[in-house]
Amino acid sequence: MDRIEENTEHIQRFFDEIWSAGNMETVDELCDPQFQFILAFAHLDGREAFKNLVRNNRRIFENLTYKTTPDDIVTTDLKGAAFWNMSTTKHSDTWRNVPASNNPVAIKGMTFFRFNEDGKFTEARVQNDVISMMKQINGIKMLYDS
Amino acid sequence: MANTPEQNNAVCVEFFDTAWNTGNVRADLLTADAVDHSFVGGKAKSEPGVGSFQHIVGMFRHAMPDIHLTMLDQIYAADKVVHRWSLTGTDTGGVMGMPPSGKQLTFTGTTTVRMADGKIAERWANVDELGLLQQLGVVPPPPGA
Repeated sequence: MDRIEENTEHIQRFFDEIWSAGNMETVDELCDPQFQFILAFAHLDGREAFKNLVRNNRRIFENLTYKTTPDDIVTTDLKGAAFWNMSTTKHSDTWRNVPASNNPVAIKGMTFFRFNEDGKFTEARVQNDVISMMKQINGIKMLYDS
Repeated sequence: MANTPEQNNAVCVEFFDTAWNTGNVRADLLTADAVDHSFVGGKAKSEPGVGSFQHIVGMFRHAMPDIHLTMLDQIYAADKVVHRWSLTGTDTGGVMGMPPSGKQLTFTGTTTVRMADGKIAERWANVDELGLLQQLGVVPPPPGA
């Protein structure tokens, strides 16, 4: 397996094993200790902070699932990008300042990755459809009312 | 002979720089049935052809005539090109159907392109619309994640 195939496989595992299955050993295997996870509204510094986010989101969103396929992934030696579809059957606790809506949610997004020379993730930068998420969990109404 | 990934990226950089920074949507860099799949700003359907691309660019350039595209990252392999970017401009025309705010706005997004025969055949985009609405003061910024 060459580096590009390996990077593609690691991105697939990032979504399948970490986000969809909650496997924290995969975080340790694939991510550099100084891994940076960057969203439009937050910047998580380090592998442990990322693990906490995954645990929290998997608690708040029941049956959280991220789907991507090799066709949705573009990689080079040190970079990668993947399109994904996220779904959850129930938003069951407060996310940001929006209380449980008990609604199912489905959004699309894209994540840009950077790899170090050893093939570990050093950075994941997420561009997701937060406005659609907010609409689906009644968050826009909540924000207007706050 | 098919374009290399580097050549594909150069076509995309030329197309998007020219479109966003000058308003000239170059049909010669699109396939005849090119599709823009993005639904930003309330766009409801994607018709094949240059018109769909002109609609999105025209809408934002009308709202922000001095809009400027900055490329933040580029990844390209085989027939795909992916860009991460930011757009900055002064809201003098009204963004997404709202009254002009007069504010300078910056928003980020990503674009994925599928190339065919050296031209742009399909485009998908993700845009931080919530961040844009927060800058406009339509939606207050919520607390962190």
